Amino acid sequence: MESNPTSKSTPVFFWRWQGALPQAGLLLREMTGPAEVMERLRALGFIPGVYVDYLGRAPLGGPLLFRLGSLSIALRKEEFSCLKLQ
Amino acid sequence: MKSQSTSSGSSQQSAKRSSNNNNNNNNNNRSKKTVALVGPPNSGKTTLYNWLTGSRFRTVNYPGSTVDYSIGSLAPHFEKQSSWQVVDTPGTYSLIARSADEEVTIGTLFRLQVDAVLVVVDGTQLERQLPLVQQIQTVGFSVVLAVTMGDLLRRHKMSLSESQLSQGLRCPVVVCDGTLGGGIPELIEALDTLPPSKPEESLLRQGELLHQALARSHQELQQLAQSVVLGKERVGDVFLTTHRLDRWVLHPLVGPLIFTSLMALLFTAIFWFAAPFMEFIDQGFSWAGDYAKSYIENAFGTPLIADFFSSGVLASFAAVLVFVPQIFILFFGIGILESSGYLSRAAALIDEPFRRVGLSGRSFVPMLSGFACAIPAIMAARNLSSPRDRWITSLVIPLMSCSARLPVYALLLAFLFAGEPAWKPGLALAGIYIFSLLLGGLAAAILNQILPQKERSYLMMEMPLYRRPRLRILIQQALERTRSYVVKAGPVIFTLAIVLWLGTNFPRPVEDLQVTETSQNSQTAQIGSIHTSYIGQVGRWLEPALEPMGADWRIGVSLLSAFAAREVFVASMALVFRVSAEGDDTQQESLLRAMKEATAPWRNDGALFTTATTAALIVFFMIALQCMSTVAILQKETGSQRTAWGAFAVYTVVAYGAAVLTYTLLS
Repeated sequence: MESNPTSKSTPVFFWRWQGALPQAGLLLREMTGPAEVMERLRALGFIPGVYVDYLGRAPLGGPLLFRLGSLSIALRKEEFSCLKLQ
Repeated sequence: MKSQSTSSGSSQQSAKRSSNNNNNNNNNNRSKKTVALVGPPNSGKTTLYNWLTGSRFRTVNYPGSTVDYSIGSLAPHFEKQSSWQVVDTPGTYSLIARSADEEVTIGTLFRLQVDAVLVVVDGTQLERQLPLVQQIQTVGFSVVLAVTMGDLLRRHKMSLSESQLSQGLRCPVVVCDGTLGGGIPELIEALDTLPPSKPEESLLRQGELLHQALARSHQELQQLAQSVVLGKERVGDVFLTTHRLDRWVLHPLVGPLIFTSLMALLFTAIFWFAAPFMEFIDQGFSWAGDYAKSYIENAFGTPLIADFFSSGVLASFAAVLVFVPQIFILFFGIGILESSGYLSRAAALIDEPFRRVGLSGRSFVPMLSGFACAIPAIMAARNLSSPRDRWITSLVIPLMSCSARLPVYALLLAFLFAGEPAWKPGLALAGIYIFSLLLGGLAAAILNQILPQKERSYLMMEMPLYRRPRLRILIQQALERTRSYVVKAGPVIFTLAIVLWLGTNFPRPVEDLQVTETSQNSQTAQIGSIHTSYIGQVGRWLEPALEPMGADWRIGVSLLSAFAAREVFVASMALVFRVSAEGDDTQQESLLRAMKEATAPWRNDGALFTTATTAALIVFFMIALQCMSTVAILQKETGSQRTAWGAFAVYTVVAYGAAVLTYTLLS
């Protein structure tokens, strides 16, 4: 099942970073998008096969926040759309 | 200080140009071998650089803090061991540059013809950061790998097998401790054993080819990174506090509240904490002024020279230096935000509102730096990958209320809130700063509409660990920045003090001379003398243009001199109003009293400084681009003389219009 944290089905008003995360352990299956975005995403550690936790959205409709390994990363919606998560 | 910060432009060309300029420095020191520190943003390069060189170069816990490269020699105690020249570079994720600061890094490696590269990676992020090591090796550089955050690994009972990693990467590996400086002698020892680099720049031109070749070995690097860290199951513990704090810092409701509170605290603290120190400096200058005046008069019997020293030189310096404590607190506060790791969270918080006006969340850090000084702030905009974002951010930064405006606001607010509790001017100052942000937003929105959207801008930002700021370094950095401010402003103040003093004292008509000498304390007589002086003549020529904003020729002269440097306004006011410490009054009290007593004959109430006039002046200073150094750096970073001088003209005209409007509405 494709997961899309920006969909209305996953409103996140309060984040829980430990335990039951809004969407924990999503497998990064595929990446498609402009070369420069792909390259920066790879540099940040987004490589097909890794697991990503979706933490929520920054206030004021801001970027989406993910945890990749031990790192927290902020991505805009269009940057996130390069990632196909499962 | 052993390090030497260098500058370069926003484009590849300007980066090259800067690198070429600095080749001179490099060639002068060619007897020493050169090593460049290269690594991803926030991996601890500048901390290592500090340990290696013993320099005071600032370390910032935010990606993109180093936007220039900096050259230093090894610290004296290491120079006994070896002789290297060390270069610190802006952070880069790969050798395929995507932003101007990454171009600086890559350009530096080739143009300085470095003998070795010290690749700096974060020990808790090996899996992500090792590919950079291989990229640099593939291009042909001799590499030593410095693994930082050794203290964090140790604290959480993790360790790293240096020999295994060294074997896997075929280069020396040293684990370093940024807190205590552990591993630095070993790093130098490893550098001495390296074979010479044989880089091939042509490989970089085939960036995609390089990238594909490296992608093939990615899996192996991942496995290597996983196998060398012992106790990696505890790596999550390293980030536990950061994740817990982020629950609140990035909370939809609490997050913006924390952001607003921190900004308000920073700017109100500037007034609260600085007050006793300002009083001390002010009294010191008052005493020095009195002493100098009586000493020179007694020793040489020349009131004119005594007046030059007390009312000219000392009064000018007193007028500006009294604000040094406030400037120190501003730099100290920004230092805490930078080194704690909060700034990247603030950038994420503000990304969406900023995007709506054509900026990026990443623009926030250069803009906040703009509250200290526009020059490094405009250079910091290089970490924006989109040229369009960079251009808009650079043009908006001059609207941020820099530290040079602080003495002006402090004086005008002290006048407006005379006798009121300190929180009132403090809050008003916070309001000015917030309003300048809003003005910046408005300017950005206008520029966003005017400029065609050619490319997409990106955020893709990692949130570094929260680190406890080190007080000693914070104080050292704030003192260094404050010192730079004083050193930069000092010669300008001194020169203008002489020019203005001569301009306000000459020509000296005989009747005015008599008046001045017989009634030194009579402000009316003194102003009569100034009125006929050269400055008075220039001021009266300006007066018709100044009256619509409630100002007279004396304010006009001060405004004009502020185009050399904004803070000179205060010194100039002290000179034009012939202020010197009198009786129990300090220098600042005397100036405030002179402002209160100043009259404007064309007004019904007679007072020159009304609420409307003072507010109009504040508005003028908020918008006008009076700093010539900022115009110069704008020209350099945008690569366009037209843009820089266009910004100067537009901001000055708009400032005048807004000041006239403010005065009209309030009066």
